[in-house]
Amino acid sequence: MREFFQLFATPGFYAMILQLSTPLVFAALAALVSNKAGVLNIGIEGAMVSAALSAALLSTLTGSAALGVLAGVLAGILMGLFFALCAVRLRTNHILVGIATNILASGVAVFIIYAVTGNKSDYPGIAMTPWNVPILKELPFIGEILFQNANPLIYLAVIAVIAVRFLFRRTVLGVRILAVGKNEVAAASVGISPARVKTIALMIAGGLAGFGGAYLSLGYMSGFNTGMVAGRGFIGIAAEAIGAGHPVATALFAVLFGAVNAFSLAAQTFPSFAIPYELLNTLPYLTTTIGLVIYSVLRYRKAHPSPTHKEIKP
Amino acid sequence: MKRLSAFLTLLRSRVKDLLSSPRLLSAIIEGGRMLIAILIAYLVAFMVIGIVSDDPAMAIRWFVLGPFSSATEFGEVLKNATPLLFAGIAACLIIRGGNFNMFTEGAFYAGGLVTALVAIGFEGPGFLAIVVPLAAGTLAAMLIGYIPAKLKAKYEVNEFVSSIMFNFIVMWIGIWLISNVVIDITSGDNATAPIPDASRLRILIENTNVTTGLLIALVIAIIAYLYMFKTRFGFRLRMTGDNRAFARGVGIDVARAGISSQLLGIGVAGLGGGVEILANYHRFNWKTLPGFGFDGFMVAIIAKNRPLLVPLAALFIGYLRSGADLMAFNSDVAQEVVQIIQGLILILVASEAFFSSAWFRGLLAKRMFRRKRFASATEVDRHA
Repeated sequence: MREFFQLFATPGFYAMILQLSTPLVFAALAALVSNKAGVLNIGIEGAMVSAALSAALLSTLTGSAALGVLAGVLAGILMGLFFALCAVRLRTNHILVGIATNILASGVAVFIIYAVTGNKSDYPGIAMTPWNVPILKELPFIGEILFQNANPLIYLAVIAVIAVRFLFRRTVLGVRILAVGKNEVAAASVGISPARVKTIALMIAGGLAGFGGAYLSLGYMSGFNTGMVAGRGFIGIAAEAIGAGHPVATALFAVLFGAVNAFSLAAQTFPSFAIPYELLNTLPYLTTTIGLVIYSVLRYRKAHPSPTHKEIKP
Repeated sequence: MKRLSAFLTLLRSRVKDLLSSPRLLSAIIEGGRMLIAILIAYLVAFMVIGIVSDDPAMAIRWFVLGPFSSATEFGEVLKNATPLLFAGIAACLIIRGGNFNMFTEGAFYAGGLVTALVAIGFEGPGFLAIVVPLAAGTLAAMLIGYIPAKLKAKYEVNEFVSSIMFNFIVMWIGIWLISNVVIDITSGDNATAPIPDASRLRILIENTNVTTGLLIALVIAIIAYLYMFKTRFGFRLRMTGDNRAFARGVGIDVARAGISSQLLGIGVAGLGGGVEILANYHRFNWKTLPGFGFDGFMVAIIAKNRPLLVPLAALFIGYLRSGADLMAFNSDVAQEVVQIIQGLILILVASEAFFSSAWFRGLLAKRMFRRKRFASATEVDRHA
């Protein structure tokens, strides 16, 4: 039990939370942008897989991690465009497009790795150099968490949250996306092309997912392996559902799931902690489910107030 | 002579009726769409093979003709098709009820694991050694699957996300079980004890790996058809899936219909997992999700959600897989090329616009006028 409390006193644990939350925040923001445009985007998982692989490929090819990240983002945007083509132009059911893009992405990833290296699971990448912010890193505790060996994409995740908020609050495009998501016919009647707006929104979402994927293969680890996304796209979707379409709340729930993930990893190193790692690995998924259920129950209660509840309140 | 000509006129009018019936026409159009989708997917796959392979002709030959090269190889097609058949039926039941419950994936895992464990522990006489483990696996899958289904029906918890989370949870608990609790150290692997011979499914065709599991799958397909199209429960299920508000309006308990459709689907998937284990494995040793759940949705979509077409779709995907395995074994191309084909077929077949009348109109308009006016008119139609 002492290790348990020690864990919460070490800055390394909080740094780990940030590391594990970053891909989830990007995934959740991607889900949010697509959802605002009225598209349930399950293809985020696939976009992250292809982005992670492209980032690793390009980083080793060019020797530059930054170009790798750029390639990852481009791959994500392309996946978003592909999703839009299928869902908007070909009018395929969104969930089925999502399933198909996920199948395609994981298949193509293994296929490419095998064609390039001859093995089917790993591809090395060049990790990004972490930042050490001068002066600020000297701060006790907080400096160690936030400003020592921090990956640039962690800061970018924070900026992305603000940017997405700004997009929907302050820009024409954001309002158009909201309009199309709320009522496509009404939006079309005032001259907005729903197809175009949806395509743009899905490409933005793909780009965000691309950052998440690139972070996984070049920031969190250095290299790609086939199981590395491990349902993070879906956890992002759940975080967005619980965050009820609000960027900051969505990001906070993503961080919560990241924290559970960090805890499940850290707890595996406790010698006296008798829970096997296989069961600890279920924690992120379990908390996501519980969070989703709590949110849904609250929403349901709000929409269907029980009669007894009404009687009490005059 | 007169009689013959009268008969011929009758025949002609019958044929004419048949040809002009909307059902046949739509079946032809659907079939044509399917063929074109498959053709496009194959073309893309061949291009990919052409890019990565040193000897593309060889690879493609194994891929396309390999499964027909011998009875054993064709047996592999049937073997691969069996779990897909279960998964496809499961997905049919779930989609027709209007849900996207992905727990079929976890159900395969849970069903397989519980079936294996019961088969090891319970050494019953005769056919009970097979029936009891399979029933236990099915029930176990349904018990877990009840949670996301009930949560969706009661509180509208997004069943897609929750069922995917359940998949991961079930998988990790299963891995924990086979590497700590029920591990058989003599196997040299994280696996259960060997499954007794009495519980293993018999080989159906000599010199192949086709087991009686295929028969079970076909029986399930027929039962699913009868249930969905010949009983009132099935009618309620389809009504709920087609138009929830209407179904509720005419007095169908939509929550119950939704739960039962998901539970039945998950049960079929659990049975499929059990059959897969008893047919092809000596021990349960899965360390990842088998992937059949997602495949099932693809099979169901290709079969247009009709249980009697599911065997055909499963056979097709089974053929793709065994061809890809042969190609991977005999050439330098990975079998994952199948996933490219599967993804493309899924998108094109499920597309409402691909090769529809609107699509043709749009194409004609572009060809004939070379102007956007006509196309934009159809755009407005669509939103109106």
